Parts: sequence; C-alpha cells; structure tokens
Amino acid sequence: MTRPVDAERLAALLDGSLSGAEREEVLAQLAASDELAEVCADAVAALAPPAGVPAHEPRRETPVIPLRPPRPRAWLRRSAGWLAAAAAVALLVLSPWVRGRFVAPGASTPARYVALLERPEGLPEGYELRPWGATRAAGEPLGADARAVRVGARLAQLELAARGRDTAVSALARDVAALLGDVPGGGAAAAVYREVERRAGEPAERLAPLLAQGSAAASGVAGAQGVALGTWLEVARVAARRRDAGFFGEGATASALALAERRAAQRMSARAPLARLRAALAGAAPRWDEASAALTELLAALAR
Amino acid sequence: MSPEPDRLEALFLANLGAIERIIGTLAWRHGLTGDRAEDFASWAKLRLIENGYAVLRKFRGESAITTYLTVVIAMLVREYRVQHWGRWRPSAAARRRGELAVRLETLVYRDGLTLDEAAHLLRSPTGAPLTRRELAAMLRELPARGRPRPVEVGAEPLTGAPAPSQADDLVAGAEAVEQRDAADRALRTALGRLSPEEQVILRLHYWEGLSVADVARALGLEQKPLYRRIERALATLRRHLEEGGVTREAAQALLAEWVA
Repeated sequence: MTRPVDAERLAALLDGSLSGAEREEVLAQLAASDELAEVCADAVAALAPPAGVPAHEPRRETPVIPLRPPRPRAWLRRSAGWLAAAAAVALLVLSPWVRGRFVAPGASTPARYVALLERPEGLPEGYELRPWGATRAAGEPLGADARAVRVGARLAQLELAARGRDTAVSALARDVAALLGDVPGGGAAAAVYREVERRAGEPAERLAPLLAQGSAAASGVAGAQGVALGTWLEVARVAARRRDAGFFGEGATASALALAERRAAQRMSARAPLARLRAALAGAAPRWDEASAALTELLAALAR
Repeated sequence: MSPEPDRLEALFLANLGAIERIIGTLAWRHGLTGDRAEDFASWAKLRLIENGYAVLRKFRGESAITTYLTVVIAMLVREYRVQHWGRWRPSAAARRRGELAVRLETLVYRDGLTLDEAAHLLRSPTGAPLTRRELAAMLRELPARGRPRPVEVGAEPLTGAPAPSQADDLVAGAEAVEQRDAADRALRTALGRLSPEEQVILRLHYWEGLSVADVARALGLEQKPLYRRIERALATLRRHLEEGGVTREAAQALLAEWVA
C-alpha cells in the first residue's frame, strides 16, 4: 500500500535521502497533486539561498541543547572533590586572564558580559532595578531604541538574578515578556520569557539554555545593538557598584562606550552622563561613586 | 517537566532562528506584508508549539530538521492563505515574472488594492518607487483574476485596459472561459502521460515558477542536462496534445502561453 506523502517524506525527497523506489512513489504523488507541488516549490524556494548572498542558515542538523546537564561519570564524581580544589587554585592564579576568556562557546551576550564580572552572580543588595523611573502612562509609546536598551538591561539583571537564584527572576522575566510582547513579531520571544517566569525557581544551569535562546530571540526582535548596549550598561552599573576594575579593562567597554556615543548624539540627556562616565573611569584610580551615578543616569536617558 | 517535552522544547528553541527565517521568506513569497506577515508569523509559531510541540514530535529523523521545518511551514502558509482568501494562489505567469509580479497580482487581485495603493507598497529591486505606467504594463501581462477594483485612470490613460462589459462581451467572455477550461483539461491529460519525474519537472518549472537550477537542486538532478530534458518533455507533451485531438496550432499556442 502506498504511503501518503507527509512533510517528512517530502523533506526527505528534497534532501535526496529516499531510496529509488521511495523516490518514485513520492514523485508519482507529487505529479498528481497541485497542493503537494505548490508546497514543494515553496520549500525549494525557502531552502535556496538568495542569488549572490550566502545562505544565512546552512542546511545542517542543529544540535539539541539539553536542558539538564549530563550526569558525570562515576570516576569523575569520586574525584570531584580534589578536582574542584585544584581548579579553584588555578582560577585564583589565572583569574585576570581567565575572567576575560572563560565564556562558554555560544553563550548569550548577557552571559558573556556577566562572565566578565569578578562576582558574576546575584544582584547587589538594595539595587535600583528600574533606573528609567516609573512605568510610562498607559498609551504613551516607548521608542524602539529605548525599548531595546531597556530589554538589554533587563536581560542582564535576569542573568545575574538567575545565577544568584534570586526571587527577582520571576518579575524580571515577566517584564521582559511584556516589553517584547509589544513589538511586532515578538510573540515567540515573549513566550520564552513567560516560560522562564514559570520556571523561575530552577537552578541557573537549567535556565541557562533557555536564557541564551531568549536573548538571541530578543535581540532579533528588539534590535541587537540596542539590546547589547543596554546589557553592557546594566552589567557595568553592577561592576561600578562593586568597584570591579577588571570589568572596565575589557575590550567590550570601548565598544559599548563608542555605541553609547552614537546614541547620545541623538539624545541631549545622555551626553552629560556619558562625559562624566568617561571622566570617572579615566586614570589609574576610577571614581566609583561617580561612575555608578553616571551609568545609572546614562541608562535612564537611553531607556526612556 | 518530563524529558520528552524538554527535548522538544529545546529542539524548537534551537531552531527558532531558522524558523523565523523560513517564515519570513515564505511570507514574502506569498505577498504577505506588514501586519498580515506578523499575523502569519505568530500564527505559524503557535501551530508549531501547540499540543506539546506535536509537529516536532512527529519528526522521524528521515530528513534534516531544517528541511522538515521548511516543508511544514510551507504547508502552514498554504493553510493560512486558504483560511483567509480561499484557494487563491499566484498565477504561473506571475511566478515566472518574479516576486514583484507576484506581489502586484496579490495586492491588486487578492487584496483589491488600486494601482496607486499597490505602487505605494511596491518598490523595484533597486528600491526605487514604481510608476503607475510601469505597474500597469506589468499587470497587463498577467491574467485577469476575479473582480479587481477599478483601475484608476489619471493623466495617463491605460491603453489595453479591459473595455466596459456589453452583452456580446459577456458571451465572448464565457466562451473564452470554456475554451480555456477545455485547454487546461487537455493539458493535464497530456501531462499525465509523461513519467512522474518529467511531470514534476515541468510542474515545478512552469507551473510553480522555479528556475531550472532550483528544480535540479530539489530533485537531485544535474542542471545542465536538465535544459535538454525539459525541451524533450515539452516536445512529447505537444505530441500528446495532438494525439488527444488538439490541433497542432492550438497545441503550440497553448504551450507558448504556458511556457512564455
């Protein structure tokens, strides 16, 4: 009996993975069905790269990201104690070099920036999570650039809160979902953060893949540059609060300040705090209180 | 959460970028723009995750996951179109003339826009706005569909626009429709006598507007010999039409129109 051509059999035809007899069977059904031919043509058009432009997504299997870490082998579990001690010593010795480089491949922008902190977990005590002030009046629109910066800042806070198993994860995820849900096409990205909200109590390593995917989706929806800037500004605020000089020595600082310059060129309210920030970070001994205040004011200016 | 939903969720999230890209490409191909494109994108993604990612659960691993998702989304866009506009699809003539013609036909005949309104939404491949004259010339090359909104005539009257209907025109119009239907039936019968692969090749190239390169890639065939093979298939098709009672001249005219 002939198997009907479903999505996977048609996909297998296009991948060239059918046997001779199976291929003939599928072609016969394709020849007899307008609907199948139309679907086939659409799929071919979507799979083909645009003329002159390399395909953005090559046709290969995307590895599944497990949501639970694999169970370590027995010998590794027995050795875990002295391995951990040795690793801690090595990290202490190599800390300045390791800090800038030990970031998991494929880690999201928030994860990368947070990893640059000396203490990359948890939000500071008594920390102002909403430097841009109270929620806007109902119906008052939030510009795309401001939204992107706000999303980026929230993603940084979420990353820190998740690593510190802070109860703020739930509210932060809800806020990100609300910000993205207002953007055309942001439904799927918002759904990721509603899922984060639902799983707010889980350990950081279980939330990490979800946060990574959400961050990528949020950047795509809200604007990658604005999101990255908001993320850096927020992590920098935490770094300044904790007097973390190593964070500001990284290359990301120069890139972020350059982007902030371009944004500040369009916003009068951002120019003064940016200038104060540069002044506070200049020299061998940063003026941390001034840097912290300037970063808060700069973030507020760009997120309104 | 049990392991299976975790795995399916991870699979969805890992492929979300590809899914968004495929949705965008197919929305564009079907003339879905602005709010309509956003609506389709949200609808399609919900269809992918509903019932515990049922679509992904059905994946058997017989193809690459991105190819599978591409076919699934191609089926979804067809379903979405049928839901909203019935069995509308771009004409083969429009598909052969490219994306711009598909979009123009969709905007004017499916969405009922005037030429001016369509011009507002359309740009040439270089990004320049198109004039009414350019759009009118393009529209004249496409088969008339349904009951389009009246074409606005400004300072430059459109030559060749359909004349107002009169009784004789209505009769002539009905006869033309019947002749076209008969020709279509003859063509389908003749096509059915070709091998399945030849039928699919001709369908994808002439009916669906795919390039020879795309047809070759889709069916795993070498591109260069495919040109000659298409010529031979057309010659066979012409012979089948004549054997089916269609005169040589009518067969040539039918194929000329089809492959133009």
